[in-house]
Amino acid sequence: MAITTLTTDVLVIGAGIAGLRAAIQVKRYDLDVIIADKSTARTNLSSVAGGTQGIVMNYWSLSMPTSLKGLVERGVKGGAWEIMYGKDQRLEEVNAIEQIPYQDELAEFGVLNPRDQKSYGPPGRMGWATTGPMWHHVQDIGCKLIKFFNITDLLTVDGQVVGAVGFDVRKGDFMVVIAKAVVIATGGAGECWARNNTPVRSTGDGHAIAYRNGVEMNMMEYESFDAWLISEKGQPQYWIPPSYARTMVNLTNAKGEDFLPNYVTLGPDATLKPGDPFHIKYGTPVIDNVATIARAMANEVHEGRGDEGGVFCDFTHVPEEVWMSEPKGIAGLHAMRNFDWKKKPIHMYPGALGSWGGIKITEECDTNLQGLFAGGEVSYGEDLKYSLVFGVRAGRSAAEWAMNRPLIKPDTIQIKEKKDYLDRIMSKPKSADGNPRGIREAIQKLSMEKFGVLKNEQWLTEGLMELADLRKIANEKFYATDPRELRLACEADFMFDCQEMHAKAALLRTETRGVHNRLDYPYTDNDLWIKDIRIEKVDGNMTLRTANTRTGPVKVPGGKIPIRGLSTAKQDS
Amino acid sequence: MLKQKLEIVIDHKKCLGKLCLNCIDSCPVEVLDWDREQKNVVVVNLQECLICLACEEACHEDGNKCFKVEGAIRKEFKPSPIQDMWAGTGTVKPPVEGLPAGRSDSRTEKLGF
Repeated sequence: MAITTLTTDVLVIGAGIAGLRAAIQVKRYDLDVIIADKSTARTNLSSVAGGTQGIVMNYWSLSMPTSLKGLVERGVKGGAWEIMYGKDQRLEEVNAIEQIPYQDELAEFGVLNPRDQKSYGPPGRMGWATTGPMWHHVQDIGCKLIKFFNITDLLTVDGQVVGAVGFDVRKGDFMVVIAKAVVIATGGAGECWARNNTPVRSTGDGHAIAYRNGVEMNMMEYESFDAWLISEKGQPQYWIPPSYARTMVNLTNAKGEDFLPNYVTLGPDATLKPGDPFHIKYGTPVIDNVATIARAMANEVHEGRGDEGGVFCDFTHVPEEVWMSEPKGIAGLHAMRNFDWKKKPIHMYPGALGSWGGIKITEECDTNLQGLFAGGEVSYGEDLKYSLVFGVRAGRSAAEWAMNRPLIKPDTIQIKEKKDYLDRIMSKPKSADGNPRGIREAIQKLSMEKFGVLKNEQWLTEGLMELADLRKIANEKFYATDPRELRLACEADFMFDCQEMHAKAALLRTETRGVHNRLDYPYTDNDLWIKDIRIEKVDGNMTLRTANTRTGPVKVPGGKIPIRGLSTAKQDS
Repeated sequence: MLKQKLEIVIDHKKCLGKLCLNCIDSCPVEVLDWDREQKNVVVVNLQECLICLACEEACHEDGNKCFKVEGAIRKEFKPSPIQDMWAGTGTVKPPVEGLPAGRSDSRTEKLGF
């Protein structure tokens, strides 16, 4: 491997919304920025997912509060993803205050309000309408965007980050970036699960890189599963975006029962009439509580009321004009092959979407490692609003840190060690056990079976043991014959760390809260668990501890709250 | 339902191959791969294709137009009644009274920024 060395003021890892926005902020301080993306900057979740569009276009208005106090309350209590009272209230406050101005500011980077866009483009890539213009904008203002640059580790001197190393995915050159500050904006780890709604490159690189360098991690047990993912055999895993048509669907289990009333709290005016939109049918205040629907679908399948591993979503009664006028994600249904949604219901089962937790950040987006900043899904939150707000803040803090500091020369021995690690993988002989793709698929399958939507102590413990066994073999046998395979191997290696953190934190949290569902603890325990689970590498070991969640203006009620649906099942058994 | 057969057409004579990889790497679901023996881009998993056209766009971006997705839906979608509803311009009324309609900038105003 030849070595290329670059220097810059700030290195941003990842070219999704958070990374691009951080880079724009750094550039306002007239500093040099390098943005490293391990692919073509298109395979990030912000470009692929449609939530980006949904939030900009105010789809959530049905439950959108009209005051700042209301916005904070909504953030703390959960909203669509419902991690009730489990979130840092100070960060929620910051997010509530800043999210709308930063969404409006997107227009300055050439992002059109979705209402003004003539075309919503193709299905399956809704977010590109937002990231695409930003991607061009960062290059116009002089940020250096390097495609195919896979960062594999950080460089540190005396507990301070001084750069990062990686390799060129096309040429295979080893690359060193010497930087005054580094922003990690690598997104989530949805690809660790076999069923997911994330692009192939969302493998939790930033989570693992930070963890390995002694950065404190937080809330790793919270992985959002999106309910609205097609699981029809022989069809692509299209995602049905938030839309009027989606709320009109009839969800039934294999017995033809409308199971959702067993899981959601019905409003007083609930009609329960098939075909009515959700907010009329169930009368719920939240239009579309994805976490609850995902839990409901998974539990129906778990208790044997599923069909081919999913539940039925019947769109047959939805008028065609509603479909055809909805934005592009719906076009996914029209693009399904040899399957007519107008004639029969579609199978649906949740898939991993976003990591709520990650690198523990302060409201200024700094970490416990000097010179390292993080924003977006890799740190706190998992949608456009959080990515924008904490992307800006990470960029600003990195710029302020880098402004009056000299470049520090990295340790050559450290660089050699990191290069040797990659060289070792490249020099290993081919073997059946060491195939990076095979190992990756094994992690995905294991995660779906043992750390899926629903969890319990037995599955988590078994899963952790299997993961450790798999890792032992992988560490010895990992091979790569070209740089692209090397990227796969590094990704699989990062996935091991992510899933170990996820499962250990999930095992420790003995309650159900929002996206974290424990069948053996089917209640939310506000007396014991208004706590964060922090993970840190101490003396080479993964160490978990709990810390009180930062509270604020929103009062947290005490007591144990049973989870509808799960608790009933428990009582029955 | 997709009426036309979906097909990915690659002009291998024009393709820059391993020097580029833009199409393979832009795919969010790994429909394409590099064939080491034939030394060209191959379609390995068309069934999973989301028809997002990222591959085609990435290929064309660097000026080397050797890639086309045949049979893809390229229809322009009109704003939906729901979008009109939030913008306050449509005939559909929001189901809950008293909510601020429309664009985020109007929300900014309502929240007093």
